[in-house]
Amino acid sequence: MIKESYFAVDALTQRDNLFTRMDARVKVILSITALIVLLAIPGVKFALGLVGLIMAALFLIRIPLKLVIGRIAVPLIFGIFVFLLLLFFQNGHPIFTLHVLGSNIAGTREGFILGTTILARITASVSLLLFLSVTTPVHELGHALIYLRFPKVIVEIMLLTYRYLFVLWDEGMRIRQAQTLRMGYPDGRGIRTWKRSVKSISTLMAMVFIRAYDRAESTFDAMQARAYNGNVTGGHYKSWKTKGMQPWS
Amino acid sequence: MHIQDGFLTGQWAVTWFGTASVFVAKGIYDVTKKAEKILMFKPLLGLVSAAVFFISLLPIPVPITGTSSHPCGTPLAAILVGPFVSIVLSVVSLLLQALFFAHGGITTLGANVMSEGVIGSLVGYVIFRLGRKMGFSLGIAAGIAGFAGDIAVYCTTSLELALGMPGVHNLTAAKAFLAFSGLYLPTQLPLAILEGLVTGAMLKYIAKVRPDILYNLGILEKPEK
Repeated sequence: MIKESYFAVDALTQRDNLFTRMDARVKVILSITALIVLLAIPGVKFALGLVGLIMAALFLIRIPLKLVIGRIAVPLIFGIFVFLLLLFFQNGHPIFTLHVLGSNIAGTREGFILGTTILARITASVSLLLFLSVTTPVHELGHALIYLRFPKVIVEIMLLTYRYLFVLWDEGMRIRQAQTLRMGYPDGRGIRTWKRSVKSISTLMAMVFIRAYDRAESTFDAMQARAYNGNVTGGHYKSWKTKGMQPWS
Repeated sequence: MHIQDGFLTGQWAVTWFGTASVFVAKGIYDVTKKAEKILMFKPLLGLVSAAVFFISLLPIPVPITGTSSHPCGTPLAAILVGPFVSIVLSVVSLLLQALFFAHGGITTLGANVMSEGVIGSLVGYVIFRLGRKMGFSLGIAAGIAGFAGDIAVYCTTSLELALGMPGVHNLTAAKAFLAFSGLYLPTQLPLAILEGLVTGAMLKYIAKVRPDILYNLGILEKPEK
């Protein structure tokens, strides 16, 4: 299911709309600026405004609502825990008290304000990154990062990782299916069934690693045949992309 | 568990970026140096990083609760490619998860690299080497390293979350650390044990079927013939 969600994002970046046409560098710069401002400004107004803006943009380019909710839900659950922690442990004016196990726990106003700020910030930053990820293909992102003086080595490895993640995924899933057919992952909760599952999974991991290692050799051969000299090429920006950027085009 | 954007205040985000960047710089230096000598090194790292990324997404069954959870993989990467190079790999996978899968964050990248990359790699690697020095077999040394690395990662993450809580006083920072560790512990302890088990079993399996890979990566000494 994880792979489907990744593939869904990958497919969304291939669609043609106002934001996928935008220069990746502009999107990266805007996103990072927005994140810094988000952390620098106290209160919830900027965060909520940003959330509204991004939601409108996501709606405009018809991103499935399920994806948006799914992405925001997980961090929010953790955020609510932080909210409760702040609400009850922050020193300040109590606004209400709870009687739990014979002791009083007071929720404070300061804690409430801080907690809501954090919740709003989490929602804003998660939706911002979602926006960036559904509008920018990874290779464009990589070249934009190189342009912005991000260490080139990291971007090169990132592009290769992203490319081969899906290849290895398919291989791994094939091995897993074969193992399942041979009772590699038996049902039940006993210690023996569990031992067997763990054994299968470590064999699977080892096999995926061995396949990756062998593939690295053939990939390197293929890259060398295409004049690889140790540096990733392509993506040298000449000018800023402006074509197709008018909303009416 | 990655720290999401928004949890940390600006001051702590910058602090963790600063601390982590020292280690990352050393990692980048190592990779560049080695890539000059061995042209295949970067493609190899890309594939290893994809494999570890995939491994870290695999669900492992947890025996008592009947649920499943996924390993963090950094100790494994550290054993395979060395501690500083594996920090670079952790930056790659955290960046990919943050940018493309919207999991983790950009402003918290420093903190996440510090906990998952730096602490996980260094603890895992040092324990593995110590274990080998003390004469443990490959599988057992790797298993202990996986366990210790995992625990170290989660303690660091809890500490970062506790310190990064805006406006905490000294007393509440300690309280917050306990609260976060308490929240993690029930899921984390069995997971760390499992991470140790599969890391050990995996290396044992590779040593059995493809020992040449481990010789090439310098994990095992090639036996004299």
